[in-house]
Amino acid sequence: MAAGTKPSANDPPAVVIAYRPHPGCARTLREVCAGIEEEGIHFRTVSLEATDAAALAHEAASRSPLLVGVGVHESELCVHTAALPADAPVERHAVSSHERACQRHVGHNAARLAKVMPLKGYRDGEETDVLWPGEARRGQVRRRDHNGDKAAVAHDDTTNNAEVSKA
Amino acid sequence: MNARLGDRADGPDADEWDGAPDQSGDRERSSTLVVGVDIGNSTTEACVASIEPLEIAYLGSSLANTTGIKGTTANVKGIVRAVGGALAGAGVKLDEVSKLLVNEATPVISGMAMETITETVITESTMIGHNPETPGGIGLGVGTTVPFDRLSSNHAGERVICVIPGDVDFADAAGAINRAVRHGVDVEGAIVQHDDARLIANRLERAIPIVDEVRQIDKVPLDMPAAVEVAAPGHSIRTLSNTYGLATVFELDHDETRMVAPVSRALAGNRSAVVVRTPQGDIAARQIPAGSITLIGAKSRLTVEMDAGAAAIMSGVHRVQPLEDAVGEPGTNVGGMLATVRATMGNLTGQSAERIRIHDVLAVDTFVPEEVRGGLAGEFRLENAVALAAMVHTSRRPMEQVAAEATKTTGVEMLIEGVEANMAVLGALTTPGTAEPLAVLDLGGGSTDAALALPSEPIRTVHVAGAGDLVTRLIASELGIEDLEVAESIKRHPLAKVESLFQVRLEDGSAHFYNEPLPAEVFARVVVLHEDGGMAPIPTRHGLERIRQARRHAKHRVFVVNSLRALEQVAPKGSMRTIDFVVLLGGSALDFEIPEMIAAALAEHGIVCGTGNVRGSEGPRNAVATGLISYFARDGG
Repeated sequence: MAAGTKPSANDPPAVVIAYRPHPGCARTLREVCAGIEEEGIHFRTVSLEATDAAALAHEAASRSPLLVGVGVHESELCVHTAALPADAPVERHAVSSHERACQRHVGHNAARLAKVMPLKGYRDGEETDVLWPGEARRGQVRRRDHNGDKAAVAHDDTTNNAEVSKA
Repeated sequence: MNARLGDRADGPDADEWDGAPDQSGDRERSSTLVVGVDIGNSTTEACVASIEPLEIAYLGSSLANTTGIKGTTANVKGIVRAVGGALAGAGVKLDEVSKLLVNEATPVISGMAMETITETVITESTMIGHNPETPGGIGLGVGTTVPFDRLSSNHAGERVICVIPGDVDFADAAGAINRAVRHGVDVEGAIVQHDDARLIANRLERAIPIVDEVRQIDKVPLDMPAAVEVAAPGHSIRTLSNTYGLATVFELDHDETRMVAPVSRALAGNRSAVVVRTPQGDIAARQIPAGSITLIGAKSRLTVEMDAGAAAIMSGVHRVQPLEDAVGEPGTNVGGMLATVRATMGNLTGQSAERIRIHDVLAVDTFVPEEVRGGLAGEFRLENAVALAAMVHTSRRPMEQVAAEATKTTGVEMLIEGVEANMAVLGALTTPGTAEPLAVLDLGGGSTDAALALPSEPIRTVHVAGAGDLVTRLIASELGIEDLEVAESIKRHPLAKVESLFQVRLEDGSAHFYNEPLPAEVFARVVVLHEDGGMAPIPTRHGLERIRQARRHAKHRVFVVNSLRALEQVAPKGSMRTIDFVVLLGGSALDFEIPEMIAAALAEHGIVCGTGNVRGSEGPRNAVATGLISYFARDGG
């Protein structure tokens, strides 16, 4: 789990977390890792120089045997898979480092992507608009209002109809 | 059919047509333009045709949503829309039309009710039987519940279950439990508010079962004996789901054991569970008196206990045929259900509820996920339920008002022509390959209607309760879906499981790939596939197979059962062998699997059955509107 280790054949299949060192990043990494661990998936962290979270995440995904990566940037978190174009991550969250619930959420969803389990944060009790392939990711930047005890609620309630509804 | 048209040609005199408002002068032919209108519960269909001396030329058809309740003047808006659509398609102006034709509405409406006949209530006792996706540890732990902040060496030598609220970090929780264990406290298990079970379990020196995502952690009784059980992945719990397992864990005598039986039943099939015994804990499965239903036939009456199930009720209905009314025992569930139906029907028809007579009943056994009262994590348990659809005959003949209003609005006279079922048969006979004796099955929203045309006999009709709306309700209740729109969508569309961002697995097991990535919303979910390639996720944790089974089972119990019931009733002497052809009409005949289910069931009786194709082009739609026109043409209007 040490930062920057190269993958070897003996490593268990893991989600790779790529981060660009910044103040508070240890805290963010802890929560992202906790999210992945709670889902029962291994992870590896790697420190990289990249301009944004999406690029970090895509590079991480390409190094992951599970093809799933997380990008941790100062102002943004991304979940990515190697199958997608670098600029179109599965999830993109604009967050500041103290939003623990969101960081944990990113970890959960990275692991769920690897496990092929439904992602968290898409409301379960409501009919979503009809979706077409390729629609959701267009310009997808999600802002979540996580503060204090509202965090958990915000998770469940965040839908992004504007992003997914039929163009 | 053609023979009848021939009859018509030399029947009514041509003068009458010429007498029609003559805006068609520029057409220079002795033809009459008429529009047939069929007002259904959900759609209003129109068909425009030019009636000429020797033939009927169908020029266009359309459908619009029915506005308001069928048979009220609110329908006129929908009529205008449907007629306008048909005329636009035919390139005809409204003022060229001489008559609008509408049928005498079927004097029946239907209602539904669903009630559970069992209920699980757990009073002053606690169980947590939800299935968090990621419980921690493995095994069974038994001890006294202790809050996290009181977990210390004071409990040395005791067996405890630690209750951890959401504000405790997973690393702190694990550290404290490890310390307590080192001080001799026998920590046997933990109950956690947040999704932290695995994180804590991974950091413990001694493995214990941990159940997490317990939202109402503050309601977990403290200082009470409790048991926590987590099964291995892919397995379900063995001890807490077994009544005698509970009795062993809590050292219960036989009376107490009887009382905890509902708890173990409620926990069956879970991967993890918590049961906390509270001294005053009473656990009771209260059986709501389901009551009995009295079926009053023309010649006899019969009382059937609801507990006996849907099959017993249906055999009762069969025995007292024809049913004249059905009454539920007052103060019981079924009494409430039938009273609801009566009240709704009374409101709809403007009759007093007491005067409403129920002329058909369809009972279906089902189950409903009900929240367990006394659970802490929103547990649901499947309770037995009976769904009832009831059919009521109305005494009003509301079409006259509708016709008058439509005449006023459009400026074209609207005539009420013939009976719906007869019109449907005439329309159905325009399906290529059909001949008399022919039966029509109209698979609607509220009722399933059958009409049988035998050569040189009046058309026999029957309306039985239960159709598409009941299917939707059954799907919704059995899958625990609150939104009926979602259930409707499940009913109408095939399913698929999204297996990756680029691939879905279809119901039939085949795979389909996409060039564009699928939205994250649908990833790893079961979705319904729309005809245009879109998909919508189903908000449920049920797997594809489970949803598919619920869907097909609901359709079978309503439409196949009702098709057989209806045909049996219209067939002479109840012998279905006398029927050669069955044509399926109505919205549900467009369904992707209902027609083949019915066809398979009818094939056993040697009946040719298929979805109608009115006029060889309209599918199962527009039969009544088409029938109206051919009837008008035959009888000269």
